[in-house]
Amino acid sequence: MTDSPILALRGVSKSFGQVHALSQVDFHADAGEVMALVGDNGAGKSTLIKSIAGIHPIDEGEILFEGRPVSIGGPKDAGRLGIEVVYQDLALCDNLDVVQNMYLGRELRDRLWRLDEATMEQRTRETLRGLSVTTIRTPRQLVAGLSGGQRQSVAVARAVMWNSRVVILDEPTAALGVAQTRQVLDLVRRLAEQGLAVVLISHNLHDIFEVADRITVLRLGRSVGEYAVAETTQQEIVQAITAGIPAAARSNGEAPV
Amino acid sequence: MTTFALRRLGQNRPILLAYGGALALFAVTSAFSPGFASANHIRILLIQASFVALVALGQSFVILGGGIDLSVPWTLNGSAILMTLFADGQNRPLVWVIPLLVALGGLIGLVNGLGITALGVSPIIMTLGMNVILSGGLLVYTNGSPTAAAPAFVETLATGRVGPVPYNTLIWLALASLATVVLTWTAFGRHLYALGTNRMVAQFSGIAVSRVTVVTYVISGMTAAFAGILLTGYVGQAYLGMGDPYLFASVAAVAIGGASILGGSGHYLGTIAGALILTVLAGLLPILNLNTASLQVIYGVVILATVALATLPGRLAVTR
Repeated sequence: MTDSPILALRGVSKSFGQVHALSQVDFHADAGEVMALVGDNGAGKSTLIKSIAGIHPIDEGEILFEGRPVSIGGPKDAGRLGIEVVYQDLALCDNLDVVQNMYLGRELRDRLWRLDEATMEQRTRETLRGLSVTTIRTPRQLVAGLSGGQRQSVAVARAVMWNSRVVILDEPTAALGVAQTRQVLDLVRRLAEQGLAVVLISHNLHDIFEVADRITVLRLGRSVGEYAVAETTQQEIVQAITAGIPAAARSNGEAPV
Repeated sequence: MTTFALRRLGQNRPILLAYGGALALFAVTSAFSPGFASANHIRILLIQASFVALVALGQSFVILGGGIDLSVPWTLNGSAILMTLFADGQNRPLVWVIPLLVALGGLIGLVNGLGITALGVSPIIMTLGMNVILSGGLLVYTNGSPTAAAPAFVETLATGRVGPVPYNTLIWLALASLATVVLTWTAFGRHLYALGTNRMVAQFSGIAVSRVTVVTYVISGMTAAFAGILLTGYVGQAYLGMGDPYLFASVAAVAIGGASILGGSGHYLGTIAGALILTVLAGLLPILNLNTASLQVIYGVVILATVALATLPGRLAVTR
């Protein structure tokens, strides 16, 4: 528990023409915790993270970083604050190798403006080792040849390499097998233990109840409520997602199947 | 670590294949025609190849980034005609004429790039439209009959030599080295490969996608304009339509050189091999006693076949 969250959104709204993708959404992410963000398709999860990432700057409301209001107008602004997003299918470039992907868009250069491949490769090895990612044999293999779990590991490692404070993971376990899902969930937990604020978007409540500390439910672009995993049930979350029933409406603890 | 990048280039099979093909084609042709492998004729082949290769330099950057530049023929042609008009056979004006025309080529590329990125026009439509506008504009401007000859200095640049090596080849070598350095060792080059593979990933990675795209078209406009100047020196004059063969040739050189026509893979070193293959091929067909008409047919078929073969691994990888 920390006094003020690293990242907080207050009354955030975002429209695309006539479509109100987000209206008056509150959200926060704390250091050392995994905050799950759930909601049905079209609930505004993607828009919310893209707003935080600077891809869709917000129309209304405010974003606070460590208690200070900040304006995020583009991906670079988010990156400067230490906010990193791992997108579902858009995190890695297939025709580049692991090192090239880890540094894509932020390549290290030497005095002559040449790419500093040696240092980038070295730091990639260190980062992967620091996160106990052992499944990647050489950081010089092409990403196209990696398994789904390995790809996610690289994408996550890439996000945390920049002294990031907040890491947002969009469906990191979608389309992964059991063992690979295990790998990625372990990695998510490890990130929180290292003191990062982790935001996890997932459709899989089982995964969420396994790694998350809190859950924020979005429905039709509004926030339904926030739940502590230790004090809620999957049933309650499903009701919040589908019917928008907030936590206060809970009748008793015995949830039917 | 420069050795890493070189090692990876050395393992690039399509590029090695293209050089192998160029050498094989050269050997076969030389066997049929004794004079083909003489130093003099090799010099001529290198000079002829340089024009395709220069236009294809810019085209390589554009295609790597996932675009295509169909405006190169009349960018080249416009630069050639304006050069003869502005210089009027004199060497002295070239001091400002050459930089001006290369800059003008860059400006054409800038308009192409902005139309594609800011207005969202598809690269094919944008650059095709530009090509038509340029050809029409030049016809109006010249009344259809440009007459001035190439200044002597440009002729020297295109055909003269220092020791055994043509100036032309030295210029090509310098620009090829520059392109190789940019593609292999700079962040811009890295971003270009990312862009050509997956625009969204590149954008989400914080790459200035639009800026990189625009720069590729600017480079293409500049190399086409510069090739037009050198080609005028080689031919001795500028004429309407002189750029037309360079549209298909430049794209074919890139594709034969092992690049994916869809972007994201390839290298200018491969394009060089592609330009050499096209040039040797053009020299081989007359030796086989084929008249101009059948020559064109065979030329077209061979280009299409090579492009199809060269892009086959890419298509297989996509459908996988």
